[in-house]
Amino acid sequence: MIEATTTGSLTSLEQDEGVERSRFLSILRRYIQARGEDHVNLGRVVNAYLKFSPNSNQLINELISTCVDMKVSGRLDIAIDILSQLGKQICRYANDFLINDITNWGHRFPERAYEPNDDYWFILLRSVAQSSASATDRFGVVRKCGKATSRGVVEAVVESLGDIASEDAMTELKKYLVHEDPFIARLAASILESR
Amino acid sequence: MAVALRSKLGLVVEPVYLRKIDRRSDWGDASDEMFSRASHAESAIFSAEDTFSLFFASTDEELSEVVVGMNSGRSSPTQQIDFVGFTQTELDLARIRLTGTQGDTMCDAANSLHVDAIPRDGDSFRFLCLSVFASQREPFRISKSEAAEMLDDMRRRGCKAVAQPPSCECVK
Repeated sequence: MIEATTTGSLTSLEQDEGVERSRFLSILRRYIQARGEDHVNLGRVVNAYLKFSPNSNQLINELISTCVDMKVSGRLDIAIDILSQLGKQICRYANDFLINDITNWGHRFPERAYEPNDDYWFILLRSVAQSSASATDRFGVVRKCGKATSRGVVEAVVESLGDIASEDAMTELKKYLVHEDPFIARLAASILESR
Repeated sequence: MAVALRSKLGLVVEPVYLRKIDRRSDWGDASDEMFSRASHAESAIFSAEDTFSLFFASTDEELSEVVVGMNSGRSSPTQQIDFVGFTQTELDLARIRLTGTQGDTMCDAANSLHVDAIPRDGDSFRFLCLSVFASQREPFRISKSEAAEMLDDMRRRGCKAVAQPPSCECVK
């Protein structure tokens, strides 16, 4: 491990992280724009970065943030397709992110109620729900967000329960049939009907 | 073929142009105030691009082609997809011009159904949203099981996006 300098210049470790991040973002942009076989192959490279990089949490955050900010159709699916292949890793990331996001929000805006980014949470929860982690682990992460008040996050929770489709998830999903937001109640009903 | 375009669209009895939506809440809900709903939908679905992609569908087979084409290259070929459908009349009234261009999915048949939609006015998309809200037509979902059924159908047809070796006519 290289110690931080006191001169304000970047350490070798920081430079390495910066280079890795730049490379990752470059490949990610190519992946997003590619179609057909190229898209599939570049997806494997992006996935390998996320699985094996020592800075994988930072890269996961970069991927989600990039897709949230992108102005193209299908941007959420692009992120979900990649992240759902990370299995338990994406569950751990989501658990950590939930704690850190609320804590960071409290430091930045101590007088404002927590306002999660809907798109960020939509990607994260559906990636967890569609991953290969155990149904218990996936359900555990998704249920933690069940008290959200934002329509967008509750939508993500409801869709994710439908993705998990375990007995526990279906029981939880039925509770949303009487949600105060008619949109959420209708969405829960349509998911249950399609089972 | 169990997935019927007409039953999915409800009231519509004419060909439609389909737009995939990223998430259901992008289109809002019938219980929302109409004008704020239109602003949200316009911003969430249309503001990103000057020209946006639509797929024409008039038959169940064409719906299958579009779904399988759009799912090609995804992590699973049976992903659920949400669509909103627009009629030619609604697009005309909103002053949106359509130009046939090749799509970029892995299914040639789907690609041939692709059009670029180009707004002539600054408020074309907002007008389009309001027209569809007024018709009370809501987005519809192709579920995973329906997508799987369509995938099987397209495999039988030899679609190059999903069949090995491909044998469909559109491969020529």
